[in-house]
Amino acid sequence: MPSPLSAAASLALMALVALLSVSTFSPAVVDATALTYNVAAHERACFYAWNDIPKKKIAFYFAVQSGGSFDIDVDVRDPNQKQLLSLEKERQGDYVFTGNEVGEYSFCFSNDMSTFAEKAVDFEISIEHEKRAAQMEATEKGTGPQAHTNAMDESLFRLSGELNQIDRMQKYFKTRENRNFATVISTESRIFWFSLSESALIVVMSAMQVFVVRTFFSSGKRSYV
Amino acid sequence: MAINVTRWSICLLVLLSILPSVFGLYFYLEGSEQKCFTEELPKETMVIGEYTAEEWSEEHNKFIHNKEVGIEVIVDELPSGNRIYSQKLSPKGQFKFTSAESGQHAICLFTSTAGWFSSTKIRLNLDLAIRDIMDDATEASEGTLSDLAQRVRELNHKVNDIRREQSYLRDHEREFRDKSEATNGHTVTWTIVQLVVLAITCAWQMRHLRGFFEARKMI
Repeated sequence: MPSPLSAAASLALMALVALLSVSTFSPAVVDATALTYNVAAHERACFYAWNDIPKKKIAFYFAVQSGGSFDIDVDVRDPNQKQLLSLEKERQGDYVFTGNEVGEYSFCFSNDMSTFAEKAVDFEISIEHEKRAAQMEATEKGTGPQAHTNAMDESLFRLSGELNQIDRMQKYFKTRENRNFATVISTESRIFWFSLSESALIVVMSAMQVFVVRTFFSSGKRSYV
Repeated sequence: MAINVTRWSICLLVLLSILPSVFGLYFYLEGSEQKCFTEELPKETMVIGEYTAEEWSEEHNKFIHNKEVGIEVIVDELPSGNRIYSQKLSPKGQFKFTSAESGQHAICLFTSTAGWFSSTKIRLNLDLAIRDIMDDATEASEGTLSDLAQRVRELNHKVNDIRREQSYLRDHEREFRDKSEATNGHTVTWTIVQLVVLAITCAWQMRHLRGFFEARKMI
């Protein structure tokens, strides 16, 4: 169960991401891919993203949707194999890195803690990149509609940021809802098995009691009565 | 100064040689390894997957685009196991499929040209886009859209994604509530069953012991 502290931390991170995306002056385009991957028991699955310009922001979101106790080990490394993030048994996270190096960034999930449970991990890796220089020039050449275009740009950008926030919140709720569902299924199964074993125990105990009482009185030692 | 320039240019050359042709998320496939992704899809939803596959070539010492490489894509409906899409495709391109039922689907990719013993290493860029069929029908054909129109279209797609996610959540929540209520009902049922078993056992025990003692003429 995520503590209120980690929930607050993840919300704070989401707010930070929103703030960062809104506060940059030039409009940026985000290249994002979201996938859901099943990490088998004892498997280490890695996904990579290429950063071609230094100082781009790389956003990484992951949430374990199903399996075991809904946690996974995460390892993020930069092109020089320096560890940017190392988490153990983490349920979900939302992080933003500044890609200072040019090269391949690796995002690895490992499921070493499970003996046979496979974990479904929903993750999204996005790299923010600036509008191309040529395009910027083309928009600057126009004079008349320039002011309108800029205002449009700004509001579209803000809209995009807000929608991203809604998306994040939705993902958070979906993950929690999956966990609640798993809890209820587990509760049902526990009730069933415990009731069955308790009934069996009652029957066995009663039979044993009868048997013991009988042995007290039937071994021929009438004097002990 | 001159040394710095040459060092930077060498670095740049090295980097360019290993630069992937398409940016975005990618992963590696060794030999005939298969990587599968799951997606929850509502019914009659079109999924477009864009991918680029590059093969590691020892002689060039980098990943190159090899036309011989074939990528096979398989899509299965998870609860029933029905295969709804299976195609062998060229190393760079796009695959489209439409989901028939709503539910979990598994999208698997692997190389179809690798044999059992080959050790080819493939770098695969992948991007999945989920679109409603209705959406695509009403969209105008692509021309050269202005940047703003493009962004508005992106926002539209995003809003549709959010709505799709919401309707999935609503259905799932209904299932969850039904399950919760069923579990609550079962708590009562199983407790009553236990009480009944207890009562029967008690009655049997009493009767058996009384019969036993009466036979011994102790009562």
